[in-house]
Amino acid sequence: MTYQLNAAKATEADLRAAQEGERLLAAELPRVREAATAWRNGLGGLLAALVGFSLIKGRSDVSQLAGSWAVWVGILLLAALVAGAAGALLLIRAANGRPAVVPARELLSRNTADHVEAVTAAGALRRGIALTLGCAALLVAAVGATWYGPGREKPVLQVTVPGGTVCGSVVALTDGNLTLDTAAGEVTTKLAEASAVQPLTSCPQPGA
Amino acid sequence: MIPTANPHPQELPVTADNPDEPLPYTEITDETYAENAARDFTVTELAHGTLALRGPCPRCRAFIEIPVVSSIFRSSRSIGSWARSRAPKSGDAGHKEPMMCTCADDHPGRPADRSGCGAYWALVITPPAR
Repeated sequence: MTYQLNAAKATEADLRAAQEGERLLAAELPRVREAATAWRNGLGGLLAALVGFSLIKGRSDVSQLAGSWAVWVGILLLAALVAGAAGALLLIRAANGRPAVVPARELLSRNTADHVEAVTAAGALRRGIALTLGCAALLVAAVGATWYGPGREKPVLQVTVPGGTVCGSVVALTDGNLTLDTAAGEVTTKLAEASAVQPLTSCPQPGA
Repeated sequence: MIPTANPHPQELPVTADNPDEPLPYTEITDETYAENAARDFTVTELAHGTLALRGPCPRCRAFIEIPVVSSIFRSSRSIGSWARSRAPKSGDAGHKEPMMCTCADDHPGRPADRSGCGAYWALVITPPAR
């Protein structure tokens, strides 16, 4: 199955259209390269601004976040890294081309080869823009989650005394008396009477 | 020697006195140009909706390649602004494509911003059925 060619009547308008088409094609690849360079520089500036934005310090240590939040922030940062690297490579590819060697028998005329490259570069430019903006959004989400996510709970102590067990965070330790902030309020116990002191990440739920 | 048809009948034929003299640049068309191109040109489908039509110019006989494209990147200010929907795809109806000689040969009188010998014609390109 091949394309079929048939003669048609041509007018001077057709000549002007053909000349305009050739002029557009001849300048197409430089236009794509120029656009890609501008976008690469602009998006680089955007990411640099994000770094400056993060100088306004909130919480900066993921390990201070509650367990599940820390995992999600890690996933967001990994996705941002992947998207940013892929976006940067695509923008560089669009701006500078791909270092490829073409078999001599596949050589096309300059306008044709430039058009094929321009279409490929424009596709890389669009994907690169989307991925780089995605990277910025993921970074903002990760920073926001780190700042405003719930912190890791303070460790608690569970003290076993003759009357039962007391669990809570440490408020004070004076003269052998340990004061814990429990669910029922502050409770003071004498350490000398304690048969066991156990650090826990959280107190067991009543009835558990 | 086998006589050949004059490819540019509206002009003086190239005579034995000036066989190597290049044709002057003239923006000209003739019904035979399109007929000869339709007969002599081959079509190669490249990637990205681009066709390459290859064959001899109907006027100056220089071998040329004419890209027929489905879209073109027009402006750096409008990503996604594509124009000139042209190259037909399988299943599409045929459409008229204006063409001109794009050879780099010497043609006296050619303006600096032009290419070819000035010949132009049009072809209807019909893609193969699905």
